[in-house]
Amino acid sequence: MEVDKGKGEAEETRKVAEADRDTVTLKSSDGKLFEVSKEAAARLSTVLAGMIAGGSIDDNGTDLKQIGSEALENVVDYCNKHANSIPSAALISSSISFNTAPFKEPEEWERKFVDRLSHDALFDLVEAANFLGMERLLDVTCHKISEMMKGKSPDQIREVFNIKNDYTKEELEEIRQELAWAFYDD
Amino acid sequence: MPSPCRRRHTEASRPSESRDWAELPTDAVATVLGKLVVDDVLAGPTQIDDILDDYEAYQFEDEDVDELKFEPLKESILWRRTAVMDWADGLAADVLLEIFHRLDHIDVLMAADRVCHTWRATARDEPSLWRRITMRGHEGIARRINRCGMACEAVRRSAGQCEAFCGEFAGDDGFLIYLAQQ
Repeated sequence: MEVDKGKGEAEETRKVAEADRDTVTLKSSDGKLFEVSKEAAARLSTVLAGMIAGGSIDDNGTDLKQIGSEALENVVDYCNKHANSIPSAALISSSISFNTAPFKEPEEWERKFVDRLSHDALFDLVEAANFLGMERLLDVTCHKISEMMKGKSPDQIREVFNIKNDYTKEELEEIRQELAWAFYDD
Repeated sequence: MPSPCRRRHTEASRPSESRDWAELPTDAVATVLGKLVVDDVLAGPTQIDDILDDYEAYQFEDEDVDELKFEPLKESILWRRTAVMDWADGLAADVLLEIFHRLDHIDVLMAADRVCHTWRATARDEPSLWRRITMRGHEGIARRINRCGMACEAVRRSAGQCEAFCGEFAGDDGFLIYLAQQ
């Protein structure tokens, strides 16, 4: 394909024109570009809000070296979905009671959003949410992970998360002794 | 002498020699696995892994496959595609803490605490985790634990930071006295 000589200039003009645009471009660790509404990014992520306010947003793609493209895609997806959703009455009124405070229950769409994720994607997303200071997304992802642990035995949890049991027999015995008075079954 | 019923059972569970169960049509396998709970599918023998691999290949090759048939399997397949990330040491400490914050504290004491060294450090040495203690548990668990001991351990871990305690199947009169003394 022939290179259009005027393309470079056109590119420059475009960039200037886009200086005031209402989206920001984010670049994943593996170099993929994602666009997200500036308003949603600033509202949902304290880190992005700080970058936008501080003018450190790069129109060619703000480098987010810690976040892979899959996770960033999910982050952007979440931001877009969030922008389109109207907070339900349940979300506003929840967390008053002791049980749910200080965490708000995920909304139906948020639940579905994390339910479709693979284990690894969930891991990446929770790390990305933490890195970007996205309180709500961190809330939703952590809620999902805690759901996966609820009521399970240590063995079952290791199975679910593929964690190696790094305790020696002696250490396990020690823990058992330490908490022996708290259990009847041990 | 075994009862006829018992013998029938033993015969039925003898490994099949003439049938290759791995050759079972994929949709039949999916139906069978769909009847298991996810944990069983995951903890099952490696043959199940192979079958699930077949299923994935099958799914990607044939777009017209009746997806509904595999619906019960989806979760298992998602979970099985794990194993890469290090959930023990790879998570940022504050993320792990956020997750534990959302658990019932009985789950933290009885399970998260014993999973691995890193998790234990977070479950034990973070008083902020125990600031607001919720011990609801469930009836099944209540019979197995020393309610007072459990609740006292939770308050002890808060290192004096405990502000609120909500317990249903945990705690008793002795604990209330202990809590009052803190």
